[in-house]
Amino acid sequence: MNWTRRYRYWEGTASELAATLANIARELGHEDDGVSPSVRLVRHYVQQGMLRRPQKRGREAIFGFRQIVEFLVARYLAQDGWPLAKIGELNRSTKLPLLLDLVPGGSRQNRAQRLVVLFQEQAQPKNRSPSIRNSSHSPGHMPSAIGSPKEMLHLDANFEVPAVPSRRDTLVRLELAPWCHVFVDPEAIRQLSRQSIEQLGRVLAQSLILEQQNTGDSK
Amino acid sequence: MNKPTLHLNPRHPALLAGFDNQLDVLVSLEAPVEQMVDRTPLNLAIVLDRSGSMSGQPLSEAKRCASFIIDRLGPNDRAALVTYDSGVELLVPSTTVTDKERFHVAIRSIDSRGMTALHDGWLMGAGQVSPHIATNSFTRVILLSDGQANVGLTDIDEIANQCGELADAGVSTSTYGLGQHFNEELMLAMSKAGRGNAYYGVTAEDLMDPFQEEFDLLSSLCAKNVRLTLSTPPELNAAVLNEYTQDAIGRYVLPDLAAGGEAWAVVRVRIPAAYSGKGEGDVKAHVVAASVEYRDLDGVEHNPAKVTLELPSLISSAWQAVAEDERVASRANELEAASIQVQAQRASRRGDWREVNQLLKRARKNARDNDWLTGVADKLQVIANQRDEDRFSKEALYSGRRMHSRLAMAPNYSASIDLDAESSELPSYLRRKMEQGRADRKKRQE
Repeated sequence: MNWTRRYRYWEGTASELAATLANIARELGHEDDGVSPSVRLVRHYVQQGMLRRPQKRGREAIFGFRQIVEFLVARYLAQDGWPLAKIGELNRSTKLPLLLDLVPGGSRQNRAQRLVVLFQEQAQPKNRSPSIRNSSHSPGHMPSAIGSPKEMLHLDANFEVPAVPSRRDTLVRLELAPWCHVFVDPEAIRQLSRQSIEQLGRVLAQSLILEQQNTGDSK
Repeated sequence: MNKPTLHLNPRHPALLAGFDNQLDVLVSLEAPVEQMVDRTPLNLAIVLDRSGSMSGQPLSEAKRCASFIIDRLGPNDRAALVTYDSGVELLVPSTTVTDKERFHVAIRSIDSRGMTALHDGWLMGAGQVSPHIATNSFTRVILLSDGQANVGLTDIDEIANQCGELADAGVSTSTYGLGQHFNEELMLAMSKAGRGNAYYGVTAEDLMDPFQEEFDLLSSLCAKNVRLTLSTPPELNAAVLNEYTQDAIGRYVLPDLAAGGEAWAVVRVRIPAAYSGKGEGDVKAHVVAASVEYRDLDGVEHNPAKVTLELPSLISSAWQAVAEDERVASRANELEAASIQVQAQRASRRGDWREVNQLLKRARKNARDNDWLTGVADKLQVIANQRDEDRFSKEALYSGRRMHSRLAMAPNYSASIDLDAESSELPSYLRRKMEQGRADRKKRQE
């Protein structure tokens, strides 16, 4: 699997970032550039403005996918003789999908595909609908508005899968009954524990009961 | 001749010695006359609005147009079918068009409901075509809407900016507006930035014409990604009168070129008296140079030799004796008419119908003996007399945009056909319509 997809929603501390970068470097065959990712190097790059500052969450500083890409671009360009200040400027001013262009083996998508993903991500927080009432569709069709009952939103924090919007065109349809189809993100399902799956089942049951009540009210 | 050729034609074949000169120069990239044997494979996403306002005949006609496009595609083409209302539905993911019935079944299943998530629909279409961009095919999102974008991203500049970025990355966008209530500013901005075409139909019945035209155009392409570079000596001042966008390095983005057509621009060059010579006649002064870059159907980049225009200097009596080039004068007039129409559109949006009438009067005067320009002004006047602001705004904007960026009939092509039978002989993309939002009824009856 492409590392960009695997780490797309990755988050971690400086030491976790260094370990992750070492894994990716091995995967991409970049181990022989003479510099091993380390916490010290990560912090140095942050100070130099080559990596974005991490988010503060309590007492921890959390890095994300953006900094993974920035680090890889920085290593690659530094080897190519770029001044550090220029690398920092490029990392700060370039959109993520285009930055991926600069990482050897960084993306298997073309530029248009990366732009579409970027625009979808920019648009999704504004578009998410909290309702599933409009999602009745004939078999084989994608729902026009994929949402969640309120109860499920409360449970997000307990899930291992980050609460990020799924790309609608990558969802898989599970036919639980001829009259009940569930659309899932295969990537998210892969990361779920047994406990979370059972929790999801309870949410589905709650949703069906609520829907039944709502239907009854409307009659 | 089987490759496009670049030409420079001055309105006057000489400079007037000792005076400041203003010279219009027609830059044209002429397509070869021969029809393409194999058209370029198409990679399309058809994105249809099925919001509540489309119910009834508009949706039926939109579905008919989508079926029409599918019927014209072949196994070398790809298509995706997307509909949108409050959300987006991918009816058929991008696939080669080997099973047309699959598309027709999906099209028949479309019903109307909800609001207008126009940006989401467009983006879903772009997402479908983008994995299949290839240098030897042509990728386009065809977006139809009858309403205002009111769900998701709605900012015109931001949406147009995204269309432009995707056009740079190989996904162009054409827009189709339907009826009175779609947002013409948005639809025109999307197609302009997205390097596609903009069409509209006043009624559902008027919608098929532009679909046919676009398909004819795509079927006859011979050059795409056409970029024009101009240069003049430092003493001169030049401006392109067409409203073409410029890319990051200042090249003008011309329309894709189809068989029998010419992509063109009028360059207005101001030449100071000191540069206009002394009437020597045999000594020529360099005025403007042009070069183009384009891709052929196989995606191969071409950069034909630069073309330069050098003109002699003549004294007043000799200068007045030489006739101006009517074709160049006509194109310059066309662009003047387009600018007047855009001014009239703005005046109509202000409710200043007195100003609209004055501008249309000026347009008719400017048209002189050009029947087409006169006809266009007359049609606009009829709408202005009805004080129909929405209708006037749309017609004036689309007409102006069309005049600024239309493919004209190449001289070598016009010489090869019977012009008396223009409407039936000409490819639809070369026809000059009097009204942009109305179907050619005569053609329909035939």
